[in-house]
Amino acid sequence: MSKKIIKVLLVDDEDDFVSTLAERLELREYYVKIAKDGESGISKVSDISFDIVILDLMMPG
Amino acid sequence: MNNNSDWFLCKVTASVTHEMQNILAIIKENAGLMEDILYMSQENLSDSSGSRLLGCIKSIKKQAYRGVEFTSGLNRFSHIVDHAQTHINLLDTAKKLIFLIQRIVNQKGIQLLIEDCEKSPSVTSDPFLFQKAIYLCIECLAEVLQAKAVIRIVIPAVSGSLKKVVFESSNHDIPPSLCSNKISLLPKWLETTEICNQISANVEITTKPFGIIFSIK
Repeated sequence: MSKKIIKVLLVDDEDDFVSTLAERLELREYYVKIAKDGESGISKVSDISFDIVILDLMMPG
Repeated sequence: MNNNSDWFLCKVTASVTHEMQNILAIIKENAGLMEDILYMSQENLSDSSGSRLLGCIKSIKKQAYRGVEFTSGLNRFSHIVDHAQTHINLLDTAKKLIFLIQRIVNQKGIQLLIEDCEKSPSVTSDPFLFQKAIYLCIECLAEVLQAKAVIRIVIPAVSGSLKKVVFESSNHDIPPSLCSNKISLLPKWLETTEICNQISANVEITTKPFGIIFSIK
């Protein structure tokens, strides 16, 4: 039986934070997508069914 | 809270500490990534430079976590201007305040200790004035005590509607009557009593043991 790949969406406007966190998750074989604002986060959620969404609550805009 | 300069200072502090939390989160994550990379390659860990690097990363993480503790505490503290009246848990609030002001008292060589209590009483009051009154009680005691003295903070179980924060000093050889006279002459003591009047609280100097009792309904 193949291992299930867990899909994670990171929504955060802090580039350095989100790219490092993505790299750490990818090293652990998570499938990671990044959105830098709420709107692109919503658009990504409608394209892919994510298992986990890590969302920053206080983003500009 | 009506003081505009305090309000302004707190608003700026809230914003800056929020940004500092972001910075510390990036430092923590980058240190974590470096650690991950090192752990993923056993070869890196087996040589001395690998273990030295791991030691450096651990130190960065430790200091970043320390920074997070302070900036989160300061951020929480700066939000005391957001509401004129809030529910205040005496022990929890005193503990958080003491964490932030510990260094000021420690610089004078005085140790601050807070005792845990099973069920801490709560009050509804102005959070800014309440915390300022608690801080000033500590400041007044620290002003008259000498290095190596200990200020113990106790929150007794509630008897009636009056809730208390008791400040007791120990490990000093100054006569308590002299200390209490000195405190009563401090401009800070006058400020403390004025603040207490504004929040329907009371402060009294005790001599056995030497200290201050802050009480509020």
